[in-house]
Amino acid sequence: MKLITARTLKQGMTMEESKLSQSYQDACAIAFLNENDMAKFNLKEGDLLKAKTSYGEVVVKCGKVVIDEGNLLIPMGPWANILIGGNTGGTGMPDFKGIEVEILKTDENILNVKEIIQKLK
Amino acid sequence: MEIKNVPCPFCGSLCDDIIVNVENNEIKSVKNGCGISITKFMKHHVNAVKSPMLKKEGNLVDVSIDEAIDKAAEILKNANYPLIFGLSTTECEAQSKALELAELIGATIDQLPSVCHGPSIMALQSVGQTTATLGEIKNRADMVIFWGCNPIEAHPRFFNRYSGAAKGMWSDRSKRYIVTIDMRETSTAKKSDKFIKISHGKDYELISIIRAAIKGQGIPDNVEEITGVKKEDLENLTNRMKNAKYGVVFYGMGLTQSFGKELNTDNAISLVKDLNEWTKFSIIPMLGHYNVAGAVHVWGWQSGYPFSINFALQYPRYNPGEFSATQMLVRKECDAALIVATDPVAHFPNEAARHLAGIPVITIDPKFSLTALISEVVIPCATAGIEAEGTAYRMDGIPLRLKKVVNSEFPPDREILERIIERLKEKMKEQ
Ligand code: SF4
Repeated sequence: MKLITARTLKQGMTMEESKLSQSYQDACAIAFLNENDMAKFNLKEGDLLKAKTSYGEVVVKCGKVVIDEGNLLIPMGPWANILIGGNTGGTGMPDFKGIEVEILKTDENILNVKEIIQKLK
Repeated sequence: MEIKNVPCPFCGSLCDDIIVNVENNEIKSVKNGCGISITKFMKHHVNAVKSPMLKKEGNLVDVSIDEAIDKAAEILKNANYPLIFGLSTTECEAQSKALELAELIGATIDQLPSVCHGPSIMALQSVGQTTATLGEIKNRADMVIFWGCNPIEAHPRFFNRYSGAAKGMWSDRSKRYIVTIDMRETSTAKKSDKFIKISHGKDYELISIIRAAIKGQGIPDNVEEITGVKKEDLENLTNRMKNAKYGVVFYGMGLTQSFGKELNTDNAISLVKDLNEWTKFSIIPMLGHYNVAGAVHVWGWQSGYPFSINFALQYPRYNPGEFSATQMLVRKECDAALIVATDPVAHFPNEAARHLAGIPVITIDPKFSLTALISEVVIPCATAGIEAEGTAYRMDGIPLRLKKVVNSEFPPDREILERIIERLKEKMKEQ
Protein backbone atom coordinates (compact mmCIF):
# COMPACT_ATOMS: atom_id res chain seq x y z
CA MET A 1 0.00 0.00 0.00
CA LYS A 2 0.98 3.63 -0.28
CA LEU A 3 1.43 5.69 2.87
CA ILE A 4 0.05 9.22 2.92
CA THR A 5 0.63 11.43 5.95
CA ALA A 6 -1.49 14.55 6.38
CA ARG A 7 -2.66 17.20 8.79
CA THR A 8 -6.13 16.69 10.31
CA LEU A 9 -8.34 19.00 12.35
CA LYS A 10 -8.22 16.71 15.39
CA GLN A 11 -4.46 16.43 15.15
CA GLY A 12 -4.19 20.25 15.03
CA MET A 13 -6.52 20.83 17.95
CA THR A 14 -5.12 18.20 20.29
CA MET A 15 -1.54 19.22 19.44
CA GLU A 16 -2.25 22.74 20.70
CA GLU A 17 -3.29 21.29 24.03
CA SER A 18 -0.60 18.76 24.75
CA LYS A 19 1.28 16.21 22.71
CA LEU A 20 1.50 14.07 25.82
CA SER A 21 -2.29 13.80 26.09
CA GLN A 22 -4.39 10.75 25.34
CA SER A 23 -6.47 12.83 22.93
CA TYR A 24 -3.35 13.60 20.83
CA GLN A 25 -2.55 9.89 20.76
CA ASP A 26 -6.14 9.10 19.75
CA ALA A 27 -5.93 11.69 16.97
CA CYS A 28 -2.53 10.64 15.58
CA ALA A 29 -1.94 6.97 16.38
CA ILE A 30 -4.50 5.92 13.80
CA ALA A 31 -4.37 4.73 10.20
CA PHE A 32 -7.31 5.30 7.89
CA LEU A 33 -8.10 3.05 4.99
CA ASN A 34 -10.80 2.19 2.54
CA GLU A 35 -13.63 -0.24 3.43
CA ASN A 36 -12.52 -2.83 0.88
CA ASP A 37 -8.95 -2.77 2.14
CA MET A 38 -10.26 -3.21 5.66
CA ALA A 39 -12.10 -6.34 4.59
CA LYS A 40 -9.03 -7.56 2.72
CA PHE A 41 -6.87 -7.34 5.83
CA ASN A 42 -9.68 -8.59 8.08
CA LEU A 43 -9.79 -5.32 10.01
CA LYS A 44 -12.64 -3.56 11.81
CA GLU A 45 -12.66 0.03 12.97
CA GLY A 46 -10.80 0.23 16.27
CA ASP A 47 -8.71 -2.90 15.63
CA LEU A 48 -4.97 -2.57 15.98
CA LEU A 49 -2.78 -2.81 12.95
CA LYS A 50 0.94 -2.82 12.39
CA ALA A 51 2.25 -0.68 9.56
CA LYS A 52 5.71 -1.42 8.21
CA THR A 53 7.97 0.45 5.78
CA SER A 54 11.63 0.00 5.00
CA TYR A 55 12.33 2.63 7.69
CA GLY A 56 10.38 1.21 10.61
CA GLU A 57 7.18 -0.24 11.97
CA VAL A 58 4.46 1.10 14.22
CA VAL A 59 1.23 -0.11 15.79
CA VAL A 60 -1.81 2.15 15.38
CA LYS A 61 -5.59 1.92 15.50
CA CYS A 62 -7.59 1.27 12.36
CA GLY A 63 -10.07 3.84 11.08
CA LYS A 64 -12.36 3.98 8.07
CA VAL A 65 -12.31 6.77 5.53
CA VAL A 66 -13.34 7.37 1.93
CA ILE A 67 -10.05 7.03 0.07
CA ASP A 68 -8.79 5.05 -2.94
CA GLU A 69 -8.02 1.41 -2.38
CA GLY A 70 -4.35 0.88 -1.71
CA ASN A 71 -3.83 4.10 0.25
CA LEU A 72 -3.15 4.32 3.97
CA LEU A 73 -3.59 7.72 5.62
CA ILE A 74 -1.87 8.46 8.93
CA PRO A 75 -2.08 11.94 10.51
CA MET A 76 1.30 13.62 10.87
CA GLY A 77 2.88 13.03 14.27
CA PRO A 78 5.32 10.79 16.13
CA TRP A 79 3.64 7.56 14.96
CA ALA A 80 3.69 8.41 11.26
CA ASN A 81 7.29 9.63 11.60
CA ILE A 82 8.52 6.16 12.48
CA LEU A 83 7.52 5.05 8.98
CA ILE A 84 9.16 7.93 7.13
CA GLY A 85 12.76 8.03 6.00
CA GLY A 86 15.16 10.93 5.85
CA ASN A 87 15.88 10.78 2.14
CA THR A 88 14.79 14.03 0.50
CA GLY A 89 15.85 13.50 -3.10
CA GLY A 90 17.79 16.75 -3.06
CA THR A 91 14.77 18.87 -2.12
CA GLY A 92 15.44 19.04 1.60
CA MET A 93 12.00 17.60 2.23
CA PRO A 94 11.41 13.97 3.19
CA ASP A 95 8.88 11.83 1.30
CA PHE A 96 5.85 12.30 3.54
CA LYS A 97 3.49 10.94 0.92
CA GLY A 98 3.68 7.89 -1.29
CA ILE A 99 6.06 5.51 0.54
CA GLU A 100 5.38 1.77 0.21
CA VAL A 101 3.82 0.39 3.38
CA GLU A 102 2.64 -3.05 4.44
CA ILE A 103 -0.04 -3.61 7.04
CA LEU A 104 -1.31 -6.50 9.09
CA LYS A 105 -3.62 -7.02 12.01
CA THR A 106 -1.84 -7.26 15.34
CA ASP A 107 -2.51 -7.60 19.03
CA GLU A 108 0.59 -5.66 20.03
CA ASN A 109 0.08 -2.38 21.88
CA ILE A 110 0.30 1.19 20.66
CA LEU A 111 3.39 2.89 22.05
CA ASN A 112 2.71 6.19 23.82
CA VAL A 113 4.70 9.33 23.05
CA LYS A 114 7.10 8.85 25.95
CA GLU A 115 7.88 5.31 24.86
CA ILE A 116 8.55 6.48 21.32
CA ILE A 117 10.97 9.11 22.62
CA GLN A 118 12.70 6.57 24.85
CA LYS A 119 13.31 4.51 21.74
CA LEU A 120 14.95 7.44 19.95
CA LYS A 121 17.84 7.34 22.35
CA MET B 1 -11.58 43.70 29.31
CA GLU B 2 -12.44 43.00 25.70
CA ILE B 3 -9.54 43.16 23.22
CA LYS B 4 -10.65 43.40 19.61
CA ASN B 5 -9.01 42.69 16.24
CA VAL B 6 -6.49 40.25 17.65
CA PRO B 7 -4.70 38.21 14.94
CA CYS B 8 -4.85 34.49 15.62
CA PRO B 9 -1.30 33.10 15.83
CA PHE B 10 -1.95 29.66 14.46
CA CYS B 11 -2.31 29.14 10.74
CA GLY B 12 -1.27 31.16 7.70
CA SER B 13 -4.74 32.77 7.49
CA LEU B 14 -3.79 34.90 10.51
CA CYS B 15 -7.46 35.93 10.98
CA ASP B 16 -7.23 39.35 12.59
CA ASP B 17 -10.76 39.72 13.91
CA ILE B 18 -10.50 37.62 17.07
CA ILE B 19 -12.04 39.12 20.20
CA VAL B 20 -10.37 38.05 23.40
CA ASN B 21 -11.90 38.65 26.80
CA VAL B 22 -9.30 39.05 29.53
CA GLU B 23 -9.78 39.36 33.28
CA ASN B 24 -6.95 39.43 35.83
CA ASN B 25 -4.42 38.42 33.21
CA GLU B 26 -6.46 35.37 32.28
CA ILE B 27 -8.21 34.71 28.98
CA LYS B 28 -11.88 34.15 29.81
CA SER B 29 -13.35 33.77 26.36
CA VAL B 30 -12.52 33.96 22.67
CA LYS B 31 -14.94 35.07 19.96
CA ASN B 32 -14.76 34.60 16.19
CA GLY B 33 -11.95 32.04 16.32
CA CYS B 34 -12.24 28.53 14.90
CA GLY B 35 -11.84 25.46 17.10
CA ILE B 36 -8.05 25.45 16.77
CA SER B 37 -7.86 29.15 17.54
CA ILE B 38 -10.02 28.85 20.66
CA THR B 39 -7.85 25.97 21.90
CA LYS B 40 -4.71 27.99 21.12
CA PHE B 41 -5.86 31.00 23.17
CA MET B 42 -7.79 29.30 25.97
CA LYS B 43 -5.23 26.56 26.59
CA HIS B 44 -2.04 28.52 25.98
CA HIS B 45 -1.02 27.87 29.59
CA VAL B 46 -1.76 24.13 29.54
CA ASN B 47 1.42 22.04 29.51
CA ALA B 48 3.49 25.23 29.70
CA VAL B 49 7.12 25.14 30.77
CA LYS B 50 7.13 26.66 34.27
CA SER B 51 10.80 27.49 34.65
CA PRO B 52 14.03 27.45 32.67
CA MET B 53 15.56 24.01 32.98
CA LEU B 54 18.87 22.23 32.52
CA LYS B 55 19.54 18.55 32.25
CA LYS B 56 21.53 17.42 35.24
CA GLU B 57 22.31 13.74 35.78
CA GLY B 58 19.76 12.77 33.20
CA ASN B 59 16.89 14.85 34.60
CA LEU B 60 15.62 18.29 33.71
CA VAL B 61 15.86 20.49 36.81
CA ASP B 62 14.68 24.08 37.35
CA VAL B 63 17.37 26.77 37.12
CA SER B 64 17.47 30.57 36.78
CA ILE B 65 17.10 32.09 33.34
CA ASP B 66 20.67 33.43 33.56
CA GLU B 67 22.02 29.94 34.15
CA ALA B 68 20.00 28.54 31.24
CA ILE B 69 21.18 31.30 28.90
CA ASP B 70 24.78 30.81 29.99
CA LYS B 71 24.57 27.09 29.28
CA ALA B 72 22.90 27.70 25.90
CA ALA B 73 25.71 30.09 24.94
CA GLU B 74 28.28 27.56 26.13
CA ILE B 75 26.78 24.76 23.99
CA LEU B 76 26.64 26.96 20.90
CA LYS B 77 30.17 28.25 21.43
CA ASN B 78 31.57 24.73 21.70
CA ALA B 79 29.69 23.39 18.70
CA ASN B 80 31.54 22.98 15.41
CA TYR B 81 28.51 22.77 13.16
CA PRO B 82 25.38 23.94 14.99
CA LEU B 83 21.84 23.93 13.60
CA ILE B 84 19.18 26.53 14.35
CA PHE B 85 15.70 25.37 13.44
CA GLY B 86 12.09 26.46 13.79
CA LEU B 87 10.96 30.07 14.04
CA SER B 88 7.96 29.73 11.71
CA THR B 89 5.61 30.25 14.65
CA THR B 90 7.14 33.24 16.31
CA GLU B 91 7.44 36.93 15.49
CA CYS B 92 9.64 38.42 12.77
CA GLU B 93 11.81 40.21 15.31
CA ALA B 94 12.86 36.82 16.76
CA GLN B 95 13.44 35.45 13.27
CA SER B 96 15.76 38.33 12.59
CA LYS B 97 17.70 37.80 15.83
CA ALA B 98 18.04 34.08 15.08
CA LEU B 99 19.64 34.84 11.74
CA GLU B 100 22.06 37.23 13.44
CA LEU B 101 22.97 34.42 15.84
CA ALA B 102 23.43 31.96 12.97
CA GLU B 103 25.85 34.32 11.28
CA LEU B 104 27.78 34.86 14.51
CA ILE B 105 28.38 31.15 15.11
CA GLY B 106 28.55 29.93 11.50
CA ALA B 107 25.39 27.86 11.93
CA THR B 108 22.92 26.37 9.51
CA ILE B 109 19.53 27.99 9.96
CA ASP B 110 16.31 26.54 8.66
CA GLN B 111 12.59 26.96 9.14
CA LEU B 112 9.53 24.80 8.67
CA PRO B 113 9.08 25.01 4.87
CA SER B 114 11.84 22.48 4.58
CA VAL B 115 9.21 19.94 5.68
CA CYS B 116 6.09 21.47 4.11
CA HIS B 117 6.14 24.29 1.59
CA GLY B 118 9.85 24.37 0.71
CA PRO B 119 9.08 23.13 -2.80
CA SER B 120 6.64 26.05 -3.22
CA ILE B 121 9.34 28.54 -2.39
CA MET B 122 11.89 26.79 -4.57
CA ALA B 123 9.47 26.84 -7.51
CA LEU B 124 8.68 30.48 -6.87
CA GLN B 125 12.37 31.28 -7.02
CA SER B 126 12.68 29.72 -10.43
CA VAL B 127 9.45 30.77 -12.13
CA GLY B 128 8.12 33.68 -10.07
CA GLN B 129 4.58 33.90 -8.82
CA THR B 130 1.35 35.57 -9.86
CA THR B 131 -0.08 36.48 -6.52
CA ALA B 132 -2.86 38.56 -4.97
CA THR B 133 -3.96 39.56 -1.50
CA LEU B 134 -6.66 37.55 0.21
CA GLY B 135 -8.76 40.74 0.33
CA GLU B 136 -8.61 41.03 -3.44
CA ILE B 137 -9.62 37.38 -3.79
CA LYS B 138 -12.55 37.75 -1.40
CA ASN B 139 -13.80 40.77 -3.34
CA ARG B 140 -13.25 39.57 -6.88
CA ALA B 141 -12.66 35.84 -7.33
CA ASP B 142 -15.35 34.04 -9.33
CA MET B 143 -13.38 30.81 -9.64
CA VAL B 144 -11.51 29.17 -6.77
CA ILE B 145 -9.49 25.99 -7.11
CA PHE B 146 -8.22 24.12 -4.05
CA TRP B 147 -5.46 21.80 -5.22
CA GLY B 148 -4.12 19.26 -2.72
CA CYS B 149 -5.20 21.32 0.24
CA ASN B 150 -8.03 20.97 2.71
CA PRO B 151 -8.61 24.36 4.33
CA ILE B 152 -11.83 23.27 6.04
CA GLU B 153 -9.64 21.15 8.34
CA ALA B 154 -6.23 22.79 8.23
CA HIS B 155 -7.29 26.48 8.00
CA PRO B 156 -10.85 26.22 9.30
CA ARG B 157 -12.03 29.82 8.69
CA PHE B 158 -10.24 30.32 5.41
CA PHE B 159 -13.10 29.07 3.24
CA ASN B 160 -15.72 31.37 4.71
CA ARG B 161 -13.52 34.35 5.47
CA TYR B 162 -11.31 34.75 2.41
CA SER B 163 -12.15 32.34 -0.36
CA GLY B 164 -15.02 29.92 -1.02
CA ALA B 165 -18.01 31.40 0.76
CA ALA B 166 -16.59 34.85 1.59
CA LYS B 167 -18.90 37.73 0.73
CA GLY B 168 -16.93 40.35 -1.15
CA MET B 169 -17.81 43.55 -2.93
CA TRP B 170 -18.25 42.02 -6.39
CA SER B 171 -18.32 38.31 -5.66
CA ASP B 172 -19.86 35.88 -3.22
CA ARG B 173 -20.60 32.15 -2.97
CA SER B 174 -23.39 32.34 -5.56
CA LYS B 175 -21.07 33.90 -8.14
CA ARG B 176 -18.13 31.66 -7.40
CA TYR B 177 -17.35 28.30 -8.99
CA ILE B 178 -15.34 26.21 -6.58
CA VAL B 179 -13.30 23.18 -7.58
CA THR B 180 -11.32 20.86 -5.34
CA ILE B 181 -8.66 18.64 -6.90
CA ASP B 182 -7.50 16.00 -4.46
CA MET B 183 -6.88 12.29 -4.17
CA ARG B 184 -9.68 11.93 -1.60
CA GLU B 185 -13.00 13.60 -1.03
CA THR B 186 -12.01 15.99 1.74
CA SER B 187 -14.40 18.22 3.69
CA THR B 188 -13.36 21.04 1.35
CA ALA B 189 -14.28 18.87 -1.65
CA LYS B 190 -17.73 18.35 -0.13
CA LYS B 191 -18.29 22.11 0.00
CA SER B 192 -17.12 22.65 -3.58
CA ASP B 193 -19.21 22.79 -6.75
CA LYS B 194 -16.99 20.18 -8.31
CA PHE B 195 -14.68 17.57 -6.86
CA ILE B 196 -12.06 16.18 -9.21
CA LYS B 197 -10.46 13.04 -7.89
CA ILE B 198 -6.90 12.59 -9.05
CA SER B 199 -4.78 9.45 -8.67
CA HIS B 200 -2.08 9.87 -6.06
CA GLY B 201 1.14 11.37 -7.41
CA LYS B 202 -0.28 12.32 -10.83
CA ASP B 203 -0.42 16.09 -10.29
CA TYR B 204 2.44 16.89 -12.64
CA GLU B 205 0.83 14.95 -15.47
CA LEU B 206 -2.58 16.53 -14.90
CA ILE B 207 -1.18 20.07 -14.80
CA SER B 208 0.79 19.45 -18.00
CA ILE B 209 -2.34 18.19 -19.76
CA ILE B 210 -4.34 21.24 -18.62
CA ARG B 211 -1.57 23.57 -19.79
CA ALA B 212 -1.56 21.93 -23.21
CA ALA B 213 -5.37 22.00 -23.41
CA ILE B 214 -5.46 25.69 -22.58
CA LYS B 215 -3.10 26.32 -25.45
CA GLY B 216 -5.47 24.54 -27.80
CA GLN B 217 -4.09 21.02 -27.87
CA GLY B 218 -6.56 18.19 -27.43
CA ILE B 219 -6.92 16.31 -24.18
CA PRO B 220 -5.63 12.74 -24.68
CA ASP B 221 -8.33 10.04 -24.68
CA ASN B 222 -6.46 8.02 -22.09
CA VAL B 223 -6.25 10.92 -19.65
CA GLU B 224 -8.32 8.99 -17.12
CA GLU B 225 -5.87 6.11 -17.25
CA ILE B 226 -2.96 8.49 -16.68
CA THR B 227 -4.39 10.77 -14.00
CA GLY B 228 -7.65 9.25 -12.80
CA VAL B 229 -9.58 12.28 -14.08
CA LYS B 230 -12.42 11.95 -16.66
CA LYS B 231 -11.87 13.65 -20.01
CA GLU B 232 -15.15 15.56 -19.84
CA ASP B 233 -14.35 16.86 -16.36
CA LEU B 234 -11.10 18.18 -17.67
CA GLU B 235 -12.69 19.83 -20.71
CA ASN B 236 -15.16 21.49 -18.43
CA LEU B 237 -12.41 22.61 -16.06
CA THR B 238 -10.22 24.16 -18.76
CA ASN B 239 -13.21 25.98 -20.24
CA ARG B 240 -14.20 27.33 -16.87
CA MET B 241 -10.61 28.43 -16.20
CA LYS B 242 -10.36 30.38 -19.45
CA ASN B 243 -13.77 31.94 -19.00
CA ALA B 244 -13.35 32.96 -15.37
CA LYS B 245 -13.10 36.70 -14.75
CA TYR B 246 -10.83 36.31 -11.78
CA GLY B 247 -9.51 32.91 -10.80
CA VAL B 248 -7.27 31.72 -8.01
CA VAL B 249 -5.50 28.47 -7.19
CA PHE B 250 -4.78 27.63 -3.57
CA TYR B 251 -2.50 24.67 -3.16
CA GLY B 252 -1.20 22.63 -0.27
CA MET B 253 0.98 19.76 0.69
CA GLY B 254 -0.98 17.39 -1.54
CA LEU B 255 1.02 19.05 -4.29
CA THR B 256 4.31 19.88 -2.55
CA GLN B 257 4.83 16.60 -0.69
CA SER B 258 3.76 14.24 -3.47
CA PHE B 259 6.05 12.78 -6.07
CA GLY B 260 7.55 15.60 -8.09
CA LYS B 261 7.51 18.09 -5.20
CA GLU B 262 8.88 21.43 -6.41
CA LEU B 263 8.37 20.42 -10.03
CA ASN B 264 4.63 20.07 -9.33
CA THR B 265 4.53 23.57 -7.90
CA ASP B 266 6.69 24.91 -10.69
CA ASN B 267 4.23 23.49 -13.19
CA ALA B 268 1.19 24.82 -11.27
CA ILE B 269 2.67 28.34 -11.17
CA SER B 270 3.44 28.10 -14.88
CA LEU B 271 -0.17 27.05 -15.53
CA VAL B 272 -1.37 30.19 -13.77
CA LYS B 273 1.09 32.25 -15.78
CA ASP B 274 -0.33 30.72 -18.98
CA LEU B 275 -3.87 31.46 -17.86
CA ASN B 276 -3.01 35.13 -17.53
CA GLU B 277 -2.92 35.30 -21.30
CA TRP B 278 -6.71 34.82 -21.17
CA THR B 279 -7.82 36.22 -17.88
CA LYS B 280 -6.65 37.18 -14.42
CA PHE B 281 -5.48 34.22 -12.35
CA SER B 282 -3.40 34.03 -9.15
CA ILE B 283 -1.83 31.25 -7.13
CA ILE B 284 -1.15 31.14 -3.40
CA PRO B 285 0.40 28.41 -1.23
CA MET B 286 -1.75 27.55 1.79
CA LEU B 287 0.92 28.05 4.43
CA GLY B 288 0.11 26.05 7.53
CA HIS B 289 2.17 27.84 10.16
CA TYR B 290 1.29 31.43 10.78
CA ASN B 291 4.65 33.07 10.18
CA VAL B 292 6.46 30.99 7.56
CA ALA B 293 6.02 33.92 5.18
CA GLY B 294 7.57 36.24 7.81
CA ALA B 295 10.81 34.27 7.94
CA VAL B 296 10.88 34.09 4.14
CA HIS B 297 10.75 37.90 4.01
CA VAL B 298 13.00 38.70 6.95
CA TRP B 299 15.71 36.18 6.10
CA GLY B 300 15.36 37.21 2.49
CA TRP B 301 16.25 40.80 3.39
CA GLN B 302 19.04 39.81 5.72
CA SER B 303 20.76 37.03 3.81
CA GLY B 304 19.10 36.84 0.41
CA TYR B 305 17.62 33.40 1.12
CA PRO B 306 14.32 32.17 2.59
CA PHE B 307 15.31 28.95 4.45
CA SER B 308 18.03 26.26 4.63
CA ILE B 309 20.83 28.84 4.92
CA ASN B 310 24.36 27.92 5.93
CA PHE B 311 26.93 30.33 7.39
CA ALA B 312 29.84 27.92 7.81
CA LEU B 313 31.97 29.94 5.38
CA GLN B 314 30.90 33.19 7.06
CA TYR B 315 28.75 34.20 4.15
CA PRO B 316 25.27 32.85 3.43
CA ARG B 317 24.87 29.81 1.20
CA TYR B 318 21.53 28.33 0.24
CA ASN B 319 20.81 24.76 -0.71
CA PRO B 320 17.73 22.98 0.65
CA GLY B 321 18.97 19.58 -0.50
CA GLU B 322 22.06 20.04 1.61
CA PHE B 323 21.18 22.44 4.43
CA SER B 324 17.60 21.54 5.33
CA ALA B 325 17.32 20.54 8.97
CA THR B 326 16.21 17.03 8.02
CA GLN B 327 19.26 16.54 5.78
CA MET B 328 21.67 17.92 8.37
CA LEU B 329 20.24 15.56 10.99
CA VAL B 330 19.95 12.47 8.83
CA ARG B 331 23.56 12.91 7.71
CA LYS B 332 24.44 13.34 11.40
CA GLU B 333 26.38 16.50 10.61
CA CYS B 334 25.28 18.97 13.24
CA ASP B 335 26.73 18.59 16.71
CA ALA B 336 24.33 20.89 18.59
CA ALA B 337 20.93 22.36 17.88
CA LEU B 338 18.90 25.35 18.93
CA ILE B 339 15.19 24.76 18.40
CA VAL B 340 12.88 27.76 18.59
CA ALA B 341 9.07 27.54 18.61
CA THR B 342 8.76 24.18 16.93
CA ASP B 343 8.81 20.51 17.72
CA PRO B 344 10.97 18.46 15.34
CA VAL B 345 10.72 15.37 17.51
CA ALA B 346 6.96 15.39 16.80
CA HIS B 347 7.21 16.22 13.13
CA PHE B 348 10.49 14.94 11.69
CA PRO B 349 11.16 11.46 10.35
CA ASN B 350 12.47 9.27 13.14
CA GLU B 351 15.81 8.95 11.42
CA ALA B 352 16.32 12.70 11.88
CA ALA B 353 14.85 12.84 15.39
CA ARG B 354 17.22 10.09 16.47
CA HIS B 355 20.30 12.20 15.76
CA LEU B 356 18.71 15.11 17.59
CA ALA B 357 18.24 12.93 20.65
CA GLY B 358 21.98 12.24 20.68
CA ILE B 359 23.36 15.81 20.53
CA PRO B 360 23.00 18.75 22.94
CA VAL B 361 19.74 20.54 22.18
CA ILE B 362 18.51 23.91 23.42
CA THR B 363 14.75 24.41 23.16
CA ILE B 364 13.03 27.76 23.42
CA ASP B 365 9.30 27.14 23.62
CA PRO B 366 6.42 28.25 25.84
CA LYS B 367 5.10 24.68 25.88
CA PHE B 368 6.63 21.47 26.99
CA SER B 369 7.20 20.02 23.54
CA LEU B 370 8.41 16.53 22.74
CA THR B 371 11.72 18.11 21.74
CA ALA B 372 11.95 19.65 25.24
CA LEU B 373 11.94 16.11 26.62
CA ILE B 374 15.24 15.33 24.88
CA SER B 375 16.86 18.76 25.45
CA GLU B 376 19.82 19.80 27.60
CA VAL B 377 18.45 23.30 28.04
CA VAL B 378 14.79 24.35 28.01
CA ILE B 379 13.96 28.05 28.08
CA PRO B 380 10.30 29.08 28.36
CA CYS B 381 9.23 32.25 26.57
CA ALA B 382 6.22 34.50 26.22
CA THR B 383 3.95 33.06 23.49
CA ALA B 384 4.08 35.34 20.45
CA GLY B 385 0.65 36.70 19.60
CA ILE B 386 -0.79 35.96 23.05
CA GLU B 387 1.84 37.02 25.60
CA ALA B 388 4.11 39.03 23.32
CA GLU B 389 3.53 41.36 20.41
CA GLY B 390 5.44 41.32 17.16
CA THR B 391 5.02 41.16 13.41
CA ALA B 392 3.78 38.22 11.36
CA TYR B 393 3.16 37.78 7.61
CA ARG B 394 -0.08 36.24 6.38
CA MET B 395 0.21 33.56 3.66
CA ASP B 396 -0.36 36.23 0.99
CA GLY B 397 2.57 38.30 2.28
CA ILE B 398 0.58 40.91 4.22
CA PRO B 399 2.29 41.87 7.49
CA LEU B 400 0.04 42.11 10.56
CA ARG B 401 0.85 43.18 14.07
CA LEU B 402 0.42 40.41 16.65
CA LYS B 403 -1.02 41.55 19.95
CA LYS B 404 -0.13 40.89 23.53
CA VAL B 405 -3.34 40.08 25.40
CA VAL B 406 -1.94 38.71 28.67
CA ASN B 407 1.40 39.08 30.46
CA SER B 408 3.94 36.33 30.85
CA GLU B 409 6.66 36.04 33.49
CA PHE B 410 9.07 35.07 30.71
CA PRO B 411 10.67 37.24 28.01
CA PRO B 412 9.69 36.89 24.33
CA ASP B 413 11.80 34.80 21.93
CA ARG B 414 13.59 37.86 20.50
CA GLU B 415 14.81 38.88 23.95
CA ILE B 416 16.03 35.38 24.83
CA LEU B 417 17.92 35.16 21.53
CA GLU B 418 19.37 38.63 22.10
CA ARG B 419 20.62 37.56 25.53
CA ILE B 420 22.16 34.38 24.13
CA ILE B 421 23.96 36.49 21.51
CA GLU B 422 25.30 38.88 24.18
CA ARG B 423 26.47 36.03 26.41
CA LEU B 424 28.11 34.31 23.43
CA LYS B 425 30.01 37.46 22.49
CA GLU B 426 31.25 37.76 26.07
CA LYS B 427 32.38 34.14 26.04
CA MET B 428 34.11 34.60 22.70
CA LYS B 429 36.05 37.54 24.14
CA GLU B 430 37.02 35.56 27.23
CA GLN B 431 38.78 33.02 25.03
S1 SF4 C 1 -8.43 29.83 10.40
FE1 SF4 C 1 -6.34 29.80 11.19
S2 SF4 C 1 -5.86 31.93 11.73
FE2 SF4 C 1 -8.11 31.78 11.43
S3 SF4 C 1 -8.90 31.47 13.48
FE3 SF4 C 1 -8.62 29.41 12.60
S4 SF4 C 1 -6.52 28.79 13.18
FE4 SF4 C 1 -6.72 30.98 13.56
